[in-house]
Amino acid sequence: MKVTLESSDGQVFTVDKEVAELSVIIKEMLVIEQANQDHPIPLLNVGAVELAKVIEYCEHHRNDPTIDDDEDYDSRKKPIEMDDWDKQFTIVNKEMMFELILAANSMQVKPLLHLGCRYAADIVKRMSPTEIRDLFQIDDDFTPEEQDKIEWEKQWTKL
Amino acid sequence: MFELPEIDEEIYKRLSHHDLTQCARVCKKWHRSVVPHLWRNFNIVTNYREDYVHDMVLEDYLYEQQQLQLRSEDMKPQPSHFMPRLAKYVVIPDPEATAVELLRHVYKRCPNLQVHFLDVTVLCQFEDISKTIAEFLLPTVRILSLHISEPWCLKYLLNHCTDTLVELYLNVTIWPDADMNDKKDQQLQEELKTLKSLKKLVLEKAHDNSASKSFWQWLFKRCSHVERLEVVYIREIHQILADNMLTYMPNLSEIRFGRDRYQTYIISDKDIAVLLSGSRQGWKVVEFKQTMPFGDVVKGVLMKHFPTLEKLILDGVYGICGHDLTSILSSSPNLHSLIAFVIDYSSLCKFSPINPNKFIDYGPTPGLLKRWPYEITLRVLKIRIFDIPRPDLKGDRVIKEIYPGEGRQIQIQVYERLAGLINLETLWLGHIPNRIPGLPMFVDTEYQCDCLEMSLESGMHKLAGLKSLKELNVTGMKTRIGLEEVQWMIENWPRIGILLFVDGNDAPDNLDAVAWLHEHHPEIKLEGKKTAWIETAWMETAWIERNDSLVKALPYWLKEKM
Repeated sequence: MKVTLESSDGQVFTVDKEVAELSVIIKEMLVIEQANQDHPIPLLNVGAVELAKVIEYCEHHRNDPTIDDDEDYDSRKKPIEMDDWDKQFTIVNKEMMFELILAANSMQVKPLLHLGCRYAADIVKRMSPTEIRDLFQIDDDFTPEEQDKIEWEKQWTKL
Repeated sequence: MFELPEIDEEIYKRLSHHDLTQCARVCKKWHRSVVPHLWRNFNIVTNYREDYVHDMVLEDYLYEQQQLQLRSEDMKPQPSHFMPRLAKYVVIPDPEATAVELLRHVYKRCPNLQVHFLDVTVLCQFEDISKTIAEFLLPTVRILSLHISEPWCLKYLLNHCTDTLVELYLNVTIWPDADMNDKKDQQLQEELKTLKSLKKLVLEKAHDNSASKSFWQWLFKRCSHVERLEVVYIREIHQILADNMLTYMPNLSEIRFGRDRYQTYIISDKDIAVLLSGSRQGWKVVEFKQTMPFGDVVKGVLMKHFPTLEKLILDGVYGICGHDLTSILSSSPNLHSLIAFVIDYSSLCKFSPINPNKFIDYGPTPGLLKRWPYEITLRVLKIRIFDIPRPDLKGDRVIKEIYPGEGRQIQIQVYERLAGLINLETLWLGHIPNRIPGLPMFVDTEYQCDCLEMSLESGMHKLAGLKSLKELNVTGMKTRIGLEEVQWMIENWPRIGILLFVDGNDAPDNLDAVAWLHEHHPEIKLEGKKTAWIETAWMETAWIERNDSLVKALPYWLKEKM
């Protein structure tokens, strides 16, 4: 069975139902609106580029075993295995990946969200605050007093 | 990072402590969102004082930061979101000068702190910190544990508790000169305030050397709603406690002696009896949780409570015999649980020895069992029946038959007796051979050989009427449960969910039985919980070892079969 999805900028995608159902949100919508499947499902927070990428991911992972409840899932203990395909998939620029994370979050595609978060975590790993600021173009907005306070906090918390 | 907490959390989970601290220093926004995650593994119930204080200070700091931030954005200030976490457990460390300062600082900063559990130790010499605790924490505390020995300080703190207090743990040693401090007492001559929600009082240690022993009366007057009393170690005050229980605690209906984990103190038979006589309305629940005497004096007092008794746990008791259990079973109209893990010092190797002849309990008519008037009330029975001849087994431990067929005859009568307990839901007859606590390194590793066969041939079909049965445990027994028996159990016990029989099973088609259950009734549990015969901590180790080997063995058997 096919399902149609509509991105925020009006582009329509047709995918297999089981592919679309990797998104918890869509799965729930389909349950609620069973009778009304002719209309495309609107995804107001997801642009066409990201949606295409999300669908690409879901197509590839359509047969994966589903991950149990998020609460039981501790990604620190058992990181998801990244296969070669996933590695290829994550070779995109930082902005694209962050958009994807937001898309995966709003569509509730859990495995993709975990993958993206892992990517994001890898980016900031072993970086100094200055490097992070440069990378994300963030200004250092701590006042000298606050800097002192952080130093003080550092003593207490063995930062 | 994303300003969406759920995504940020996913990312922070993947970062090391060091990485997180770096992120915290990027900018204010990041700082705010990262810092809580620095403490994800923080165990707030820690005795390591410094860590704890650090955490408190940090919480305080964050709270302040948040308040400032919110004020600048012109929103209503909200209570810190760290409070629920902080409030769940609070352990007050040994106060030193700095710690006192910091603690007070934090308490003042968190006026809405809802403390769930509070453990207060060594505070009496610091009046200022007792005051802080009394003002800021005690009004909301639900479980309070006090390790304090100054009566005035105990009274002071308890006076500040309110109706939120549900459980009170006391570890108190009162010294002979305590009465001298009555001057301080005078200052808090207060009106009598009853703790209305306090239902459970635990005396972990109560040792009173003072002449007046006045504290206990003071305490018990305030505990008039207590329903459950647990006594781990008390000295010198048994009679005072019992008198005060009778006078001030009309609702007291549950009592427990000892505790699970430690068997450090042995209360004498007489002292137990004294405490047992302290219930006005009769005990509903009586538990013995460590090596303790169950002598004639205790039996005599307990007998008076048979009419009200609902649950009796004799865990690690010695001095009981099969006859006692039979008389308890046959004369307690409300009893629904009898759990007897009993040490028999005479033979040093029997657990809850209930001789089949005692258990069968013949009536006046020869060959007919006496009907116990209240047998249908029982829902949980955990005992060990022993001394049954088993000519089918070989070895030193096997009891010989006096005449041919004796073993089977006894078994049929035991089944008949069990069959009368028609509302039984849990039946444990076996146990994991194990170490007996309190005895020098005594290990009983053998399977029980003088037990029921649990085979249809031996008369188990008499148990067909136990329609409520949910759990059968015959672990550690040399049973003969095979495919036929298992199929019969499934057919006749519609509610059965746990069948623990694999361990020690001697039946040739035992593997068939396991395979059949796995195939047709995978919902039925064949492996035990990680607790043995009775849920006692000192037994767990042996059971876990055995259980693991059992778990490992199961798929292997199945593989071979399939």
